Amino acid sequence: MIASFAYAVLADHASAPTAIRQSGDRFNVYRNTFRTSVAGALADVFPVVGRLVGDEYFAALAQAFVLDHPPETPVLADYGGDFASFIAAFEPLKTMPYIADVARLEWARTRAFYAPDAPATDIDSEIDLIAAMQLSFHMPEGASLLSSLFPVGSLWQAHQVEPVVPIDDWRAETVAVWRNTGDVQTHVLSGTEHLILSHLLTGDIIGSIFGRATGQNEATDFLQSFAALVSMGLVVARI
Amino acid sequence: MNTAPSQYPPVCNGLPLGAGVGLKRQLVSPLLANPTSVDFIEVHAENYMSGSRQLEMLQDLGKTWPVSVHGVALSLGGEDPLDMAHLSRLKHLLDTVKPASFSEHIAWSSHNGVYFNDLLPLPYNAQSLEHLSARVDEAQQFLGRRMLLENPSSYVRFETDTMAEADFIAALVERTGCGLLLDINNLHVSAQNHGWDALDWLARLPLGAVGEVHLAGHERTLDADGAELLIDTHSDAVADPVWNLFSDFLVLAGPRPTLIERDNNVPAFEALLEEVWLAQLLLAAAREKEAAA
Repeated sequence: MIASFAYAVLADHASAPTAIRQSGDRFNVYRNTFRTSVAGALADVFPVVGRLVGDEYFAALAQAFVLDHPPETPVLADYGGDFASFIAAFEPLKTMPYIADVARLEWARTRAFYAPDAPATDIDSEIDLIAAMQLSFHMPEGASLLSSLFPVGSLWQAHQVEPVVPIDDWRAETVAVWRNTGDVQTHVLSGTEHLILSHLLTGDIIGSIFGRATGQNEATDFLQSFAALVSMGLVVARI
Repeated sequence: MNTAPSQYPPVCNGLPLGAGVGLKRQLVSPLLANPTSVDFIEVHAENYMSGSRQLEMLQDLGKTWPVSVHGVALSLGGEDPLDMAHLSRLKHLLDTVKPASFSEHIAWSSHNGVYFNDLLPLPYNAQSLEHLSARVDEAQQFLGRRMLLENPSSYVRFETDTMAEADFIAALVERTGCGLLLDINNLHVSAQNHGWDALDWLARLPLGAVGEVHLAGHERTLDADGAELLIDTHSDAVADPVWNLFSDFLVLAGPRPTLIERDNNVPAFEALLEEVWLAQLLLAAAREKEAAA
């Protein structure tokens, strides 16, 4: 009984199961509830994708995803990791390839939201900058780096306000998403920040990169970017 | 099966005989600013199972209010084997938070590994009663606690039904020693949709087993034949017929911990509080009546 009921809820054009007594196509309530409630959970996780394509389009897109990838976990916070790849392969959105990357960013934000606290390393008092140069660093648990051919971080930021701020510089971006103890952070990395971060993530200390600096200005730039990464909490010291 | 009801503590759970609200993220701040406005809070178990951070927040909230943990995904009526990974997550949550009450549903929500995010209906007959009772026993034993089970809302019934819903639920209580979470909106919705008499339904139930009451809103619509159909949406204020049925229940059974359950289209805190106040008023009257008796 349950198998035929489940099939009729899931399948796109199935008729109502024969084991039920109904009138007036009431079984459709179950079909609609499944599609709209799971799509609604996705709308909560991907609000900027929703703003980019519009609410009605998002509902149709999300429902297509729900039927293609029905949830396999009752913990809906863990559902939607495949939505970005689904969007990337979704033919009608091929002309807007940046939308899949915005979905990746929003998924990264939800992962960071559920990550445990990882307090930033305080380089003003506890550890001075010189001492910090001898430490090894890592990103907080649940943090992500997202490299996109599109200004994905700027797009996300532009859609946090009403009306949307136009993007004046359409270029590739690498975006970091993480959380320390408060809200989730989204930061577009500068070229130097990306270089320093990549170096730190190999497990090496920052001091060892200064030999690569081509002059005093670049060495200063390295040091400032390092201080910025530490003070914004994107990297925390392994202690 | 064959679990002696006495193995679990009696129906009287740790929730106060007052009114609570379902916790939504946007309600946390106004609630913390007005901690005495509600008597308890209820959370969906599945919202506290991704990482430890949410769980720590819930433990903190538990210092301010008694907590009711309400599971929506155990699929006790389902045909897939009980999901042991989910039961283990649930046990960890309950052992950590030590809630005043834990409740689940007379429903199924997963099949063949797919989770439907809905509380789907069961046929009411000897076979489904046997199946559900065995799984309720298994879950209660695994969790080491008695649970309250909630009556469902439904839009269709089954060719294989041989029992009335109220008799099915009464037999479930008898067999498993579970308590009941009486959702008065679900009762009203199902009674209207299937042409049942809600007061007769209540009269057939062991009301002493009711450890909590839910009040919620529904939507009125028309089915494809143009007949009125009530849909259990939790997206509107509690409707007048549901308040009336709640009052009838209080006269029959006395006061019980009562939750205003609003999951969608959550209104401003003040609007929600008006419903909490009305429930508190009716509960106070029921307490006075009980004290006078």
